[in-house]
Amino acid sequence: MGEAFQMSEPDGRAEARDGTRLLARIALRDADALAELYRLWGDRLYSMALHWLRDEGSAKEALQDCFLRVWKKAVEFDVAKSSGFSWCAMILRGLCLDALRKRKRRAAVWHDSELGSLLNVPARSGVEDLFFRETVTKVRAALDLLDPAEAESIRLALFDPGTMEDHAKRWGIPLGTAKVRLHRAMAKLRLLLEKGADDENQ
Amino acid sequence: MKTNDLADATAHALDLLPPDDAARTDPRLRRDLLLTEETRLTREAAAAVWLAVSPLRVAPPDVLPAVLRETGPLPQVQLSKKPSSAPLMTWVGWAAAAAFAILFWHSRQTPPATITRKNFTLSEATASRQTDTLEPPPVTKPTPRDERLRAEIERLRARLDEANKVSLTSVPRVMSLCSPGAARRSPEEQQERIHRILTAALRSTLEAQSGAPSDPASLVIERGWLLGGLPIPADGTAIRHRNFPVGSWAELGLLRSEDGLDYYDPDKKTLWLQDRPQHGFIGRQATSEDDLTRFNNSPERNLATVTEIPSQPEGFIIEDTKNKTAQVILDQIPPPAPGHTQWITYTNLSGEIQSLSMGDLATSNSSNSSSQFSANSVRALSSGATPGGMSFISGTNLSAFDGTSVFLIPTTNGITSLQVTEQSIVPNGVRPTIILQSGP
Repeated sequence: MGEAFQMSEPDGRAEARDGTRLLARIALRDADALAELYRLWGDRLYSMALHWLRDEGSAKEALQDCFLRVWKKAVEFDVAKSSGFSWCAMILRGLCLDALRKRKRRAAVWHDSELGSLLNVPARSGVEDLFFRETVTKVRAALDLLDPAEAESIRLALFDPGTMEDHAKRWGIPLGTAKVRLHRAMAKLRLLLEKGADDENQ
Repeated sequence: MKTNDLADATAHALDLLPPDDAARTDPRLRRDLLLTEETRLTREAAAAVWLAVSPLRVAPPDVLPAVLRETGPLPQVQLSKKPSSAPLMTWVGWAAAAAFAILFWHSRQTPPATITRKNFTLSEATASRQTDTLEPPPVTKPTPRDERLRAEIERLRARLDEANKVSLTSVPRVMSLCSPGAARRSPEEQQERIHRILTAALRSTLEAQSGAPSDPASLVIERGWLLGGLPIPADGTAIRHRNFPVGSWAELGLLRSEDGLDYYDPDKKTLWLQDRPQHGFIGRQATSEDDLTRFNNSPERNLATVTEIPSQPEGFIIEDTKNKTAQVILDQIPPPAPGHTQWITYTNLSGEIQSLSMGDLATSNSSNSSSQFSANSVRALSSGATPGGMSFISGTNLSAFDGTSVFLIPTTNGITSLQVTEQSIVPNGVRPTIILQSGP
């Protein structure tokens, strides 16, 4: 992930570099590298899946499928397009979205009220791994500076399994307008994250 | 850059575009530098937020072993308690290859338009039937392995559907190979032999996994059979077979009970009892308390034909002119003599001679799974009748088992003859020995 902050955080490259090196080895069918990557990011990715899916079995399945896809698709990983962690996270995101969309189709009533707390950065109790501590700090600061409408846009975009069409209907606006609304909210979030990175480096 | 394009890139980055949104297929989202950068930055930010809002938890301890098991090298088929997808995938490959070849054979015998998924069975325990029952009962949530299996089945079915569309004019040719001087099989014998070889191939691979914790069976066989019977674990526990080959009990040397429900394997002293609630069979060691006299259906007649072991090398070529490939089945080819190597050489309609080292084939066969190989060591033929010169050929080795190899080779211009020969690695002036040859 640190890619978003790389311009002002040269040391942040270390994280991406490590992932990149492991992914390169995985692309060469090195199972040890896959195990190493799992030890590096497995807990973190599982936590993300569990937080979103709210079901240990589904989260475990998503994590397993995620690493199997990493194994199969590592050769497609391009460091110019993504950091290693973000690449893995987006694979996991796709799997979680699939699971949630299936769940939503099956459910007679979809309770999206559960999504309300998904955008709260939890208090850390000392178990936070050092590698991601800065990221957590920056995200917390950035989210605090979003206005409620922007936070709502991001919350839905990141955690609701619906498409932009669903969000547009929910907001009562045309699809194109909904896309722009989300884009502006995400752009502001990125700006705040970069600013946080700049502030830390000063 | 228009804001709308950037907005599309944002939605695309998060997989939020509706299925029918034109932006989904907009090539600029993948090629335009600004838009790809927008996508990248959006994903980085999304991953950062998702990470930050997720309380840290420890992943379940069994995920990594499960992942590594899926990614590990293909093990040999074995009756271990470890779940393994490799035998499954091998089996599926075999099912595809065998069913396809068998279907082609049948399409030669009957109009292809009449072929259905259900009626191209070759004998009672055949590829087709097993293919149709390949999908196990949905006893558990689909796993990635199930998904892959399902995809394989769909692929196979698509091939079969495609084969159903084959016109009579493109029905594959079947050519037999035999040793010089050996009597050629009749077409009926050829058909029977191909069926037997491919069926044996299917049975020789087996999918097994450990039983569920609540299952009294310690091992679950999804499908398949081992030549010689399935051994019951030494600890006396039972085996569950979800797709017991009831249609081929006689060929497998089993005895059937009077009521036709249960089976007994006299060689392994194993009882196979129908387990109705689970739609399968439970295999367990027979005890002195079991009444074995009720198994009075002897398979002697069928067994006699099944146990016939061919001592002569033989082979078959099933040429699919539509797809320009040939499936070559070589059976009971002896290993090369020390200092010798074996070659497959075939001539096409243009008179071109193409050659492939059996050594390459054997090497590509080491994992017992489908693999690509190519002949990079084409020998120099003394024949001058090669207008097109010698060509390198490549193919796909489908599998090998018990002295039988099956592989695909490209046939852009039809095969007119094929030979399997053996000759000294070091040229010694001795003419190659012909092991198999086609044609009268």
